[in-house]
Amino acid sequence: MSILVDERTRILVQGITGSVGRVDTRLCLDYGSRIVAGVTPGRGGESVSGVPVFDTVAEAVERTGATAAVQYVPARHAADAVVEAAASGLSPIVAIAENLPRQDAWRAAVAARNAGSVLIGFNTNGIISPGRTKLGGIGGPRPDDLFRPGTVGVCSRSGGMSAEIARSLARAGSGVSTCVSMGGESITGRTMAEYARWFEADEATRSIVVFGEPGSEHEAQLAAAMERGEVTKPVVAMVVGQFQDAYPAGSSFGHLSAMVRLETDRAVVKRDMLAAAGALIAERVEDIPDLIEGC
Amino acid sequence: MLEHESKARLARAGVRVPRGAVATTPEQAGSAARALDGEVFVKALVPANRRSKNNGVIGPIGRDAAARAAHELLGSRILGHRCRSVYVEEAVAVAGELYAAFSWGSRGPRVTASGAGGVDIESSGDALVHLDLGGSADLPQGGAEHLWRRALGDSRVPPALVDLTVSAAGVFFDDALLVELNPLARSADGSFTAVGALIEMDGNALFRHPDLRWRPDGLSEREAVVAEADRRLPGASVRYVELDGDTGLLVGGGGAGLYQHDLLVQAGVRPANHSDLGAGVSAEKLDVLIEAVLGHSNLSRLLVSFNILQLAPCDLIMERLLVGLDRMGDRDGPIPVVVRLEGLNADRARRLAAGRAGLRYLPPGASLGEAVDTLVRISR
Repeated sequence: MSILVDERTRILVQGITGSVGRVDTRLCLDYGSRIVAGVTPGRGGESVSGVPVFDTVAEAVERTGATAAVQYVPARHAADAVVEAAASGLSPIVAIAENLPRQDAWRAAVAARNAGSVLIGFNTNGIISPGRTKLGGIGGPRPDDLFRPGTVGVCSRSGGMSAEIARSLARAGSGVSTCVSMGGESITGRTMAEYARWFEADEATRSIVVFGEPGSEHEAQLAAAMERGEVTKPVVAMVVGQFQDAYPAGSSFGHLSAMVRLETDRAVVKRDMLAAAGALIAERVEDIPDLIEGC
Repeated sequence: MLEHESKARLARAGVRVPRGAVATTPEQAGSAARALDGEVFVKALVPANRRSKNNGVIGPIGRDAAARAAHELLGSRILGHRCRSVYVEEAVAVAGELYAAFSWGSRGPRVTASGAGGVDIESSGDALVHLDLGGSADLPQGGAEHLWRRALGDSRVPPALVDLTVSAAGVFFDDALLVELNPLARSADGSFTAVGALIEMDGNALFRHPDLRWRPDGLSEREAVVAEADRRLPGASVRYVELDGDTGLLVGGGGAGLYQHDLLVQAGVRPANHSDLGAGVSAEKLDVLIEAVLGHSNLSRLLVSFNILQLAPCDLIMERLLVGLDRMGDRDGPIPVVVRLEGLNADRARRLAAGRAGLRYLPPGASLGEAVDTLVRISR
């Protein structure tokens, strides 16, 4: 089992004819992902790695029965691409683009939510259910080296850290049910707490690992969900960026969204909230397998 | 945006602001003041908040004193910024101060209001009333009225205040990240004026605003060079923040950079910078970032450590790093460099680095934490 995606997921790639879209499509097909359609306006009739390309999402869905989307679309067109995919009922929608105008990201997030679609991103490298499917660049050219099938659900603000966490689990002989890079932008389609609730409902997931950063309310919302008893499976949390406390508020390091403006944006505060709600706190990636083992 | 730019933008949208003019000399300030009625304020145009508490605002003063006030401000340093121009503005007779702000949170757009204004109102918690605007990209009259009814604790909200708030919402929903009116002054005649106004525009949306120019306000020279290159050159984004330690960080992605910076600070190491680099970065951008990191005068060691690279090739980073190190030359022998680069083309990156004095490339399978530990050992 897994959350949101599995081997039956029929994937449509928006922006399939671009350079990253082509490479990722090839790697996903090699992994076994069922990519059934591509979309690039004006390029209908072509094909990429044997996948037929259509001019519009609606046409591609009608012809191929696609159920989910992954998007390699430049930031200024990314919101429209999400709206188009949501209007055709696709879910999840994996949106790779970063540095979107705030207003556009919000418009897309609202449109997807209203349509009942799960928007993963913005600024994500994708989602993987090891051994079943993957959408996006997650795992790179050799996903099996990093992501082994298992019982740990991973939700990370950082795509790169998804890979580090998965690899440390693999080395300890453990594995992942689904790993989702939820997006590093300030506006994401869904909250960390929602992903945790989906892992809670997934029979194959026994424990949950989350990776957070300064800024945003994600960790506070997750702590609240745990307090309310909506998430009862063991949660191991890593929240980085504590060093930012030594610098003036409003400084941004790394992800632009990882900016401290409010007291509750601070890494330490988030860690304390999650610990108080019962989460185990990892200082280092290498601590995560042991903490899970001890749950 | 500087104050006069913020106010001009608000005025165009129908928000009443005090009359004023920009001056770059005391003489200009004097004639600007004579064109106004009554007393005036002379304000330093620097990109910083809390100017009035940091000698950046003089007034209210008589019109004849404006030139002298401008003389005092021009050329001085206020909150770290050299004052090159001043804003001469009429002093509005204030019967009461209010506060209104539009901002983005993780729940979307939000408007905040208070029946009390003033410099520290944002941090005074209790007095603030919030309204999340949800999925709509505007603030209807009814919403503004509801907000002020709660903020003022009075069911009768002046229509002029509602109109002003709706107009300010229009400015916010035109790609601003923040619109703050503080103080929002109520006059004895019942009118409302944005006496203090601050707009922060969304740098990611400047393509929709050809009239606005991106300005590297408050950045160091090297930070400005990297930020400018990031905007100008193609490829994934690069970021560079200068600090005053002695350990250079060429790190990424965003999460891995924050994580390693934490571990270094915990071990007592002081970074000379923070950096970040997106997947799919171009060689040109990489060169600019590396030059900035290596250019720091305190630099005595360097950590090059990235997430397992899933798209950007390791050999590209190594190639550009070696070029940068060569260009830097030997001041007192090569600086120690700890490298953790894994993923695409790591084998070639290793071959390129082989035999390089001072460079320690960690074996395959080494973690981000081990890279930091190695650097900490070297620095002791």
